[in-house]
Amino acid sequence: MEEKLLEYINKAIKNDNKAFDNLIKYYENDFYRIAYINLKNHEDVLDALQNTYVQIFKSLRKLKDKSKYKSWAIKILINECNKIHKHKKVEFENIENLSDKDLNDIYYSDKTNNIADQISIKMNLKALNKEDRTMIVLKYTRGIKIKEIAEIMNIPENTIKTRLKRAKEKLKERLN
Amino acid sequence: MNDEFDNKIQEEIQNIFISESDSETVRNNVRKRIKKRKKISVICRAVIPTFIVSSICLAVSMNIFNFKSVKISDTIIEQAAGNGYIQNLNLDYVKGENIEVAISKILLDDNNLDFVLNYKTNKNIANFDRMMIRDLRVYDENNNILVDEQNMNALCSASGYTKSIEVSNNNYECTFFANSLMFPKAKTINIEFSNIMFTNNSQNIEFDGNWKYEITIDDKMVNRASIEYSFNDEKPNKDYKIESVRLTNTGLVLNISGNSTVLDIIKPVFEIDNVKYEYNNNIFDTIKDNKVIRTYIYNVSKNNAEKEIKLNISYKKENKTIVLNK
Repeated sequence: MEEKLLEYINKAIKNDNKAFDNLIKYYENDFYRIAYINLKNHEDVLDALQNTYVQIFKSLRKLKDKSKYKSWAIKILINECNKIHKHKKVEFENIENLSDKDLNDIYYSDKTNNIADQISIKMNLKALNKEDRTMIVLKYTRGIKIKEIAEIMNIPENTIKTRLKRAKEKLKERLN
Repeated sequence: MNDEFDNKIQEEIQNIFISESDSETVRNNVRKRIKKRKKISVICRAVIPTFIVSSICLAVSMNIFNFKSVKISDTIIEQAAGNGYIQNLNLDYVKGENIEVAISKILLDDNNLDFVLNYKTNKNIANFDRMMIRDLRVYDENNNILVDEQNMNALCSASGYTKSIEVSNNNYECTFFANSLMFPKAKTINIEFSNIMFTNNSQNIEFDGNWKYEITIDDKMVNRASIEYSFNDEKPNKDYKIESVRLTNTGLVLNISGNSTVLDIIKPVFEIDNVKYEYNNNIFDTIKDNKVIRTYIYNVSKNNAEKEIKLNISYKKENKTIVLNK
């Protein structure tokens, strides 16, 4: 585990506000991606993130194995996304319904020149069912192994592998 | 082995990232919620003198040192100073062991008691940004106990300190703040303590002494008046009740009763002339008649409040607007 991360965790447990701030920033993009792929709108994503960090603050002392911080925190995040899900229905999005923010995110990328591809992947990712979406975003989040995905989602490792393969095939089909 | 499609998905997902402004919004809101949790965990059921209200309740005070990591300018004192509702004091420094302490400003209104502590010491306390007084006692000429963590009858519902900051060489300052459902219109305030502690994440340093201050409160605070608004809640909700809305010298004060879980979800916002006002960091709970009353304070001045005031409350899926009348 990275030294800095461990330092932030240890200090945050002692109510060091700055350390807790740094802890939030440490994986904020990864967490944002997971919430973003999981939830329909921007406000829900920010709500899920805030709720997650408050929960992390409340429970950080109880985390026995600090090296498991990332997967532990992601589990909390997914629970928070699920709570928001219970009240909302995520529907397949047409490109006309993408918000300005979504479109800005797409155009922000300078790595893929094919805008149509970008729009399709994101849109079709969101069109998969909740579990498949979550699995895919976790798989492509740096530092998360299949074993950890299995722990986070409480699904056996082999099942994760099979479902991931199927989810990718579905995505490919949609794009074609 | 990653194929091309894998790389595409990887790229697409890695290109999703949180904007700086969203990141700041999230962290600010988390900080506020965490502070709120710390402050709300102080619960004091206050004995309220019968000349103020007719019901009586018991007081239990718990000690919590709530450290506001904000500048003094964010406290009620700075806002009140802008309105002229502050009393500058000319008290001498009182010596203790290796430290001298004076009080330079005080504010007392219905819901707030704030005073600014100034202290001088040759000991190196620059790295200790948190100050607390372990046995602080504040009472008035009628022996109403405003602050005393050992006393069940203390009126204070919540209290804390701002960060201790160095204002010049070896001279430091911080503000003590206390909240109550109703502080009395005291003419004299006595402040006494014998132990001060400074702390940071890893160390403490303590000073002993015998500090006593007697402060004659300005007439404007003794004779303060607040405006109570009437309102008609046409769609009352069984989970909570709007108890009162008052305009005081330090802001617009809203009291809502309910259980803590419900109160944590409610979002009350005032709207005046199309401008929305959210509550500031001064939120505290009091238990009265076996119910929790949450007090919210909004930075609304008497000038702002000349126009029509609406209270917007969102709770679960309900959003309602109530117009207030003077």
